[in-house]
Amino acid sequence: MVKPGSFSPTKKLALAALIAAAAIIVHTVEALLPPLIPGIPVRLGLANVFTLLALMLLGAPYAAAVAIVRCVVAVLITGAVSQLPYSLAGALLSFAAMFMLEPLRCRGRLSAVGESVFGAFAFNLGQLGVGILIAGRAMFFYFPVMSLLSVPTGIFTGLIAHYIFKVLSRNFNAEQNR
Amino acid sequence: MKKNRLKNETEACGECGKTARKGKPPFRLLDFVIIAAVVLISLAPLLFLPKDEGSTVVITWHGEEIYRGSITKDQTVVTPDGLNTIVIENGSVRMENAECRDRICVRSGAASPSHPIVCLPNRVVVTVIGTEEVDSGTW
Repeated sequence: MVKPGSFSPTKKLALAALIAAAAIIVHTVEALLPPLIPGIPVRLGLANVFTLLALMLLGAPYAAAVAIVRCVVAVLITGAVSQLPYSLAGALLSFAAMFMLEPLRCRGRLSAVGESVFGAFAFNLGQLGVGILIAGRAMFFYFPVMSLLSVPTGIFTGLIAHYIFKVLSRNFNAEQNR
Repeated sequence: MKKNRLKNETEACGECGKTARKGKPPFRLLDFVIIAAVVLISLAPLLFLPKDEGSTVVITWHGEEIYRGSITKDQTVVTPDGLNTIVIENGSVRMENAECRDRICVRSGAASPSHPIVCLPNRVVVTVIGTEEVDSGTW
């Protein structure tokens, strides 16, 4: 039987690239959508699914790489360069938050949903931090709204990540046991 | 049955070697703890932050700030050279009097965040810094 998590480095790299490509597409498409609530810059954060997925499947270095590559390339595609600091700070903080919770999820104390909610919260925190640096303290008044909205969006993205992970790991197991 | 599940969990893939449990909702206790914590953290500023005092009036004279205060506090400010009189009253601020030729500043009425009062000859600027009037369109 193959040991857990023992993808070859080549396979890991290929998977990370695949996940990053999917994340870029989702990020780009999502950037085209208008905000859910007018005036409040809240998105579903679907692209975060892929950071979480990379973290669960491939480990922290690959997840960080996916987050950074996704932000930079998606900005090059959408052309909204002024949004780069926001999405980069958000993605990195959210990665850090999920990375902190990853050991707990491994021990089964927590599911991808809790991890994702905390990640979404950290994402908003990062965006808000950059917003406060760039646009001034008034941005802080967004905090309660954005932070509250990170709960439903986090649950949603967490469920998506959970079920994708479930299907993928079943397939990988079948492949390895063949 | 228990053996089965254990086997399922050990022959996993993924970085830490856990697959998702089969057929059960993913939620665990800590998930709810995290969700509750996030909700509490987001509501905390509403409870503990001091109530917003509204807009702030800032008066500069020859490039220096000579007055800063809430717009709700009634106050009369005279510039150090005595040429301009600014009155803060009933939640608005206006240039009451100015010793200059055109008196544009006096005629410009009440100041607002998007409309400061400027007296060019005497170099007086009265600005209102709003907290609630964030230009949401920008974001």
